[in-house]
Amino acid sequence: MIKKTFLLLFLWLTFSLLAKEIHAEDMKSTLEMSMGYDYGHVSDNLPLEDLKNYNFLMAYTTGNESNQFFFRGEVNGNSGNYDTKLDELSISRKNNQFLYSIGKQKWVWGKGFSYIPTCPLYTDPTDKDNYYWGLEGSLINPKNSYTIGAAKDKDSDKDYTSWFRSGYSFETSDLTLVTSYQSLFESWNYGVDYSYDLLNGFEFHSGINVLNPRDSGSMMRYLVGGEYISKYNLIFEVYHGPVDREQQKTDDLFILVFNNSAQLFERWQWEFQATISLTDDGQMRKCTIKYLKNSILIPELEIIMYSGPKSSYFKSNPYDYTITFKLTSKF
Amino acid sequence: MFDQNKPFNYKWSVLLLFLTIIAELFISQSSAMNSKEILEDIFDRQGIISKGSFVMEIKVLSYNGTESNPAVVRVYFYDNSKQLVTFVEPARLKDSYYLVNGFNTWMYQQGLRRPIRISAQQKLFGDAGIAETAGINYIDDYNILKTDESDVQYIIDLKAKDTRTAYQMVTIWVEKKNLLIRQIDLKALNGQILKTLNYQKYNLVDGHEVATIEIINVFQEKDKKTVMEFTSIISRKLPVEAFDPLMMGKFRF
Repeated sequence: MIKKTFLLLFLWLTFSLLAKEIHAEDMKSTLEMSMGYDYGHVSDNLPLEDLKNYNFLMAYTTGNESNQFFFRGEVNGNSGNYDTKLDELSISRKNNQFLYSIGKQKWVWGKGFSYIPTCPLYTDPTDKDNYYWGLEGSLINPKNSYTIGAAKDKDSDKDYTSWFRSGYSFETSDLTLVTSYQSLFESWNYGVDYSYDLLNGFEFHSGINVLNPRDSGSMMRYLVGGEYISKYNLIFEVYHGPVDREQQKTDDLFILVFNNSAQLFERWQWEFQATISLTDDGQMRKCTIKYLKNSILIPELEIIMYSGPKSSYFKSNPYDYTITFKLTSKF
Repeated sequence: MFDQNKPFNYKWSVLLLFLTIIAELFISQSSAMNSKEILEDIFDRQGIISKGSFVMEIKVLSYNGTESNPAVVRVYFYDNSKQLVTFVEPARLKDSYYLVNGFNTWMYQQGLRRPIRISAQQKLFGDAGIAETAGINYIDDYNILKTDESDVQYIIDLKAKDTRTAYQMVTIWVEKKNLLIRQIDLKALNGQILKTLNYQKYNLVDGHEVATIEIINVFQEKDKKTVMEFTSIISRKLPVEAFDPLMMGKFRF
């Protein structure tokens, strides 16, 4: 009841602001809709049913030079058992050097392709529910920026995560210092993100974060990687640190991504991703392919395969493999 | 016999000579200009570089063999050093942004929810990289190495002032009679031609003299080409903070 009241209050506030501040002729909007089907094959020895799920997703963005409103919701389920979910509902506003956002969204920053050491709200990239209610404000100068924010934990009414980031921009590189606090673990975390362009097609990025949970000793997570762009993109990263949201399982991962996203107008766009655990030999391999010839309706197929010893983190997932087919339209 | 014509011929000869010299000077005014002045004249007529902030809309056709892909990009151009490239068409790229801030290049896509650094080598179309799409500053970023001339054109060789500039060497072909660029070769430091830009169909777009530019990647993919046509160039005061990566995807111009 409290959640619904808060949601209604937020909607009312958002639309009031939009109606007052945005003139209709200034608005630029995009609407994205997608329909999909997920299939997950359960490992043979588990007493579970295979996943068969339909989903419908709608995302709407509208805004002008000073404001932006974003909504993303989805319906998931199968055979009469459907669940409606509000993923994102946010408004951001720019006022000279100040930028602030409020609402439910992905609070994410950092350089990693999938794992981001300094971002406490984005621990597990396979978690499709990385959306949190919160707010964030930034002061932006030509060479530096300062951001402060806080978000409520999705599983708890009283737990929250807060952060302060200061970013510095150099001629071909940038540095971000991050201090965050997670009330769930009573942990103060200190981290650094860095990226550098060698201007020959190679980009280097890294991040390191020291976590200090109250109940256990300090632990570190870090990521070192790079991206090489030529006709194709090649991304390679090494990550060390917790891989689950509860921070119980620490792993060393090697991540390799190969795609043709550098060519925006290829008829077929594809990506192969392999995430290999160096600790327990578990593996996740992902293959995505999109057909882009028709820009109104884009079909996409994604196959994810999990393999390795039963004790490995990736095999703790009940599925051997998942297949997702999606049709997306954007206007 | 009194030669009545002699003083007359002398006077007219001097006058003719004088007029001829003036005419020669007038006709060859352009040849009297040095290479720097020629380039400044060209880019002055173009009226974009070092002229403030602009919002430019460019129609792009990217050819791959017989297949072509249309797109419309909007480039926010701030004081030579910062450019934000957004897509008007196709719809699937509407929430993709590319930011060039000096030597730093950033990309924002809605799925990522954050700006990520990318290499400046990232291509936007088959052959057009971010540098060609956002605009290369031949006046301020390059030194003139030498100038050759034929009967009909000047051939001006440039070298980048900074070793980090994407194309280290440039050759520009300028038509003599009207001082219009006809071709630009973008080269590596060793002189290897990487891309050829053919300038065709000059016209005035919102008071700016611009050409349709055909870009051919002669180094890698000769069967592909990209054609860029300016459809609007509007002078507009843009806020500098809008060219920060943190602002990407947070508001709409």
